[in-house]
Amino acid sequence: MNNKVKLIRVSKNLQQKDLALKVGISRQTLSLIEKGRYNPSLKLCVSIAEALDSDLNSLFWKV
Amino acid sequence: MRKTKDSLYVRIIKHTYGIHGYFDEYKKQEVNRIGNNAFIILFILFFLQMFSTVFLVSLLDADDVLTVLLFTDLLIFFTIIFYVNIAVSRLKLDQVEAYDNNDYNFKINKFKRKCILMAFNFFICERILFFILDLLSNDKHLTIPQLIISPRENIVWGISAIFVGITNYFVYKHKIKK
Repeated sequence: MNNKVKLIRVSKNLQQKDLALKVGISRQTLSLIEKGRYNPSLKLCVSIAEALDSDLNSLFWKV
Repeated sequence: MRKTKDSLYVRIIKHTYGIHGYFDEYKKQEVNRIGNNAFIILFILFFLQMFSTVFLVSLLDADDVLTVLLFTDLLIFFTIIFYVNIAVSRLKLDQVEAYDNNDYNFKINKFKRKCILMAFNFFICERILFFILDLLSNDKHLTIPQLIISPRENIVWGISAIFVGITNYFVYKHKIKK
C-alpha cells in the first residue's frame, strides 16, 4: 500500500529511528511500511498519524 | 504504542525465535506464519515417522526400532530448528537495532556479559551431565571428588565453554545494525 509516511516524516525533520521509537515499533517495520511492503493495522496507522501530527487521510488515503 | 514491559509469553516467544527489540505487529505476524509452517512440517514428519514405525516393527527387532525412532526424532527436531532459524534470519527478525554509538556500545557490553554467562552456564550444565554419565559408567572405580576435579574433563569443557561464548559473541555482534 502506497503512503506518504516517508514524505511527511522527512518534512518534519524526523529520522526513521526517532519515529520508530515514538510509535513503539522497530526501524525495520517502519521501513517496510514506508516502502509499502507491509500493510499496518488501523491501530498502528493511527499511532503513526499521531506521532507525525497528521491524519489518516493525508498519510494513507488515495496516495 | 509506547514501549511497555513484555509479558512472560512474549518473552518466551522472543527467546524461542531469537527476536530482539520491539515485538511489534509485523514481527508478530511473521512469527505466527513461521510457527504455522513449522507445525505443518512437524505434523507431516511425525505422521511419516509413525507410519514407517508400523512397518519397521514387523521387519526389525524392538531395539533397532527404538534406535531408529530416537534418531528420526532428533532429525525432526533439527529440521524444525533449521527451518525456524533460516526463516527468522531471512526476514531479519533477529536483527538488533542500535540507535547511536552509545546505544551500540551499551548493546555490545550487554552481549559480552550475556556471552560470559552463557559460557559459564554451558560449562556447568555439561560438567553436571558428564559427571552423572561418568558416575553411572564408573568402570575405573573413581571417587566422586576425583570425578568432579578430573583435570582432563574440566580443561576440555572449559575450552568448549570459551569457544561457545566467543562464537555467540561474534554471532550477536554480527546481528547489531547501526
